[in-house]
Amino acid sequence: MGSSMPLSLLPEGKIGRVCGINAGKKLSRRLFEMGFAPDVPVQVQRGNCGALVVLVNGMKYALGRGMAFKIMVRDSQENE
Amino acid sequence: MPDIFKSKNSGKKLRVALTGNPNVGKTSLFNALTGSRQHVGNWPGVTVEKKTGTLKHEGFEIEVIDLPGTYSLTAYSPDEIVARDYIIEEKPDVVIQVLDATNLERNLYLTTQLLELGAQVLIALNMTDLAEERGDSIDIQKMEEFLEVPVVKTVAREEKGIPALLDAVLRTAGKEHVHKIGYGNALESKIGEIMTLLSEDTGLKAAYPLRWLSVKLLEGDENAFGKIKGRPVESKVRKLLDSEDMAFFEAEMADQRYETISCLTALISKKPERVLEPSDLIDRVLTSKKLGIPIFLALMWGAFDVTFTFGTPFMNIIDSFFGWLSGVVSTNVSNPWLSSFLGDGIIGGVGSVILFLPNILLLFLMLSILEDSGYLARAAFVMDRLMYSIGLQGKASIPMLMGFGCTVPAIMATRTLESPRDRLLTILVTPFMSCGARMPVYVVLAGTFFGESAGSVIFAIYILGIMVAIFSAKLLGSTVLKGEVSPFIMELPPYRLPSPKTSLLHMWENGSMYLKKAGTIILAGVVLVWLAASLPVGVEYGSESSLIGSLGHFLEPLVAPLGFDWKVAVALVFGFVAKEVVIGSLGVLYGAGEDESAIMAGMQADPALDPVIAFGLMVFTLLYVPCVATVGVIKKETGSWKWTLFSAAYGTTLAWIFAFLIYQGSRILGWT
Amino acid sequence: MDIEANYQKEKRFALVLGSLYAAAGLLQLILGTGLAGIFFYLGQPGEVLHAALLAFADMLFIPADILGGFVLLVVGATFLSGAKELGAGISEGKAYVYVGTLLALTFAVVYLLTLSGNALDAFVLGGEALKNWSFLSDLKPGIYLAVLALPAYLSRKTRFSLGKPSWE
Repeated sequence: MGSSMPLSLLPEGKIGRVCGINAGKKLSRRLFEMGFAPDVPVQVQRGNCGALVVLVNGMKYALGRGMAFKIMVRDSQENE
Repeated sequence: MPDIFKSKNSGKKLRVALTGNPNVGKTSLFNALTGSRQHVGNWPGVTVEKKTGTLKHEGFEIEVIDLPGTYSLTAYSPDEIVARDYIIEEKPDVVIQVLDATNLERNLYLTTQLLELGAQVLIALNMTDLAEERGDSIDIQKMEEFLEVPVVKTVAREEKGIPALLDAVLRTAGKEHVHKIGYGNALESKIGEIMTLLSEDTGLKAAYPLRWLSVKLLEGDENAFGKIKGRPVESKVRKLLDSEDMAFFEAEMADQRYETISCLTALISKKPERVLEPSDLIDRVLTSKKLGIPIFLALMWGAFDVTFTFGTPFMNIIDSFFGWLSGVVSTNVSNPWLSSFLGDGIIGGVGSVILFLPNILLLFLMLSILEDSGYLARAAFVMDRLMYSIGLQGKASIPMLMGFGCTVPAIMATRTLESPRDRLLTILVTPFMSCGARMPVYVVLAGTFFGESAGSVIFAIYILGIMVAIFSAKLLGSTVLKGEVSPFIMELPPYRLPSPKTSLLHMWENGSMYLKKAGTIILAGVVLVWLAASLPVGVEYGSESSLIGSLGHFLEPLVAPLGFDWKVAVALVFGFVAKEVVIGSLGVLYGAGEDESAIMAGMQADPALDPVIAFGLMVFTLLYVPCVATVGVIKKETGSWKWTLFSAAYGTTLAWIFAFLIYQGSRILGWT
Repeated sequence: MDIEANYQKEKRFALVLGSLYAAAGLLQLILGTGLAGIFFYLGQPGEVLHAALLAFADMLFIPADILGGFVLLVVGATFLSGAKELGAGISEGKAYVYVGTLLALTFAVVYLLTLSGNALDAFVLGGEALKNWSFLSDLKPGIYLAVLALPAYLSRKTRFSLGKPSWE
């Protein structure tokens, strides 16, 4: 089990598991509803100096750099 | 059909609401259901689009209301509140949830919330073709058993499954079915306590499903607290909840919901391992660091090229039609006043606006195709880095691009920006993206004064507009609209072949707005120009002694430092009606009418104009207060006269400063 | 078919189309920006070269067009990136080849629409304009090079049909 870091620092292609969201109640809940729930695997498909394309729950999202800093992930060892 | 059968159900009306996550094919289903019998309006009080349509099935008249696409029914955004309040307060007979079969898990979250609301839910399991192609299998029967609601397979894009869906609507309507999600003993007893409290209030009991309200209160939903505000039970409920760890409840309930969902998905669907899909492969290229932006620019160029070159023949047809029409009027109407009013005023004026209809429609078609294919969302990602550096987020690039076509829909497109600051900033800079209506002004002026290099001069004007937009975003973003760029998240739907029907309808929705504008505001403006040019009675049309001439002379001192004379002042005033009118007015003032080459000859012969002044005029036209339709839409979208006036004054001040520098600068340097 | 052979075939296809698009794009850019004028600094042989270049461009219907040249370069770069990745043994390189094919076809459609727009316009205006317009005046590398990409798209359609990823 690796240490936690913002999603924006997760290298391209790696899979992390969501371990927390540093945001207000509304935003946290919205992210939760979009699939960023605790322990859910998140894969970074494309990093673009802050902005990211991620896969969560079979959905694909583009995240701005601000958003990507709010989502904390643990580096998980599994790799597909 | 025998009369008796027809009359059995005739006159019976049903109301059906369509709901679902974004990008699940809800719009396609709505179009497939209602075809062209649609009405687009706004939900009262908010700038969320409301679409309704009607259809007949088995003698029933069914009204379909397209609710905004939402991920859930919390109160996060105006969209969600609109959707939720409609279901609670208007109590539609049936709520159809459109579900993306390729993504059950995420979609079912909304289903659980709908069921909790006590709505009569019917599920349209859409995009089943894609799910099956991918190798997913979904057990519809188990799904119906578990959720206790009917499920119908549809492929809305190809209009498959519609009759079965409508049959199911008739079966579902009028049923009373309450569905519960079990939250476990601890939570259930809390919910029970709140329900007991709430049921004391008979008014609440009649208006809302109490279980739902209790659940929401337990979750700490602000909108739900708003519903009990001021009622005697409010303090009791608050007292009860204050003693509890709310955060714990909230998390616990969400967990329960997710568990229900994953339990269900495991039960009904078999999914193969997710492999790299075609969409992922395409994204590898279209969002790549090196090729992302060049491909984006190339595609934009393609869209604009089609818009302008393919539209030209249609413009010529319209042009000659109006030419013919005004000829008919001038030969058949003997009263000179009436003839001039109809010919110069109405036909000339409205004609000059309808002229751009092919361009506008094509531009919207291109944007619809880009959006429906899924590319536009990627464009926001690709542009994010660039936009971030000027203090805006990636999503803002979409309205700014649309601004090259027409500023009015561009400003409406800022609705996709959630943060008010980002939205306002985008609204303020979008008018500097040179819209299609300003093009004819550049073409005539550059053609007259710059000959061979006209193309480069026009290109320079477009670049200047972009620079001013960037500069303004930085300036305003760090002064009057100080703040952080809001974090953004947007879904990247899988690439799809856009359906011609959806794209065309999409185009028509936006294009008809332009026509409406031509029919109302511009018609009024044109009549005004004509009156001012014809009064007082007996003056030569558009001469110095007419009202228009006096106005020009009155304004001349204001624009004299820019090198503009009274004719230009008049043209600019009327350019406020619509920017293309700048050229139309100059045509009137030079006595050349609509004929471009005559306007050019007239301007070339006028000693008051030279290349520097013409360039200044082009820059002024680019930057000064946008047309009246744009100002109107800015007021509507910002909801504030203060910002509307600011936008108009800011643009006009910049225009004046730029034109002043160009004119005076060239005098000082001795270029003219 | 043997996977390895297929792989090599795809790489060669990307390399050939990529080079053709890039070359055509570069020529349009050079002609459009007037860079070809530098040949005149080479004296007599330069003038001959310049004339030869113009004649060559004329023969292949390559116009002087900056933005059009940029577009062709982008398509070429996409193909070449694919060839590069495939050459390095990265099988996802085929994504570049596929998108390159789609882009090639998309822009061919754009050019064909432009062409038919111009044709229609000449027909509407009639007279002088109709006399001046011909099919060849709007024929561009963007159109005829795409003919090479078309069979690749059609043969691939079944393999990529999963998400219906196509947007012409």
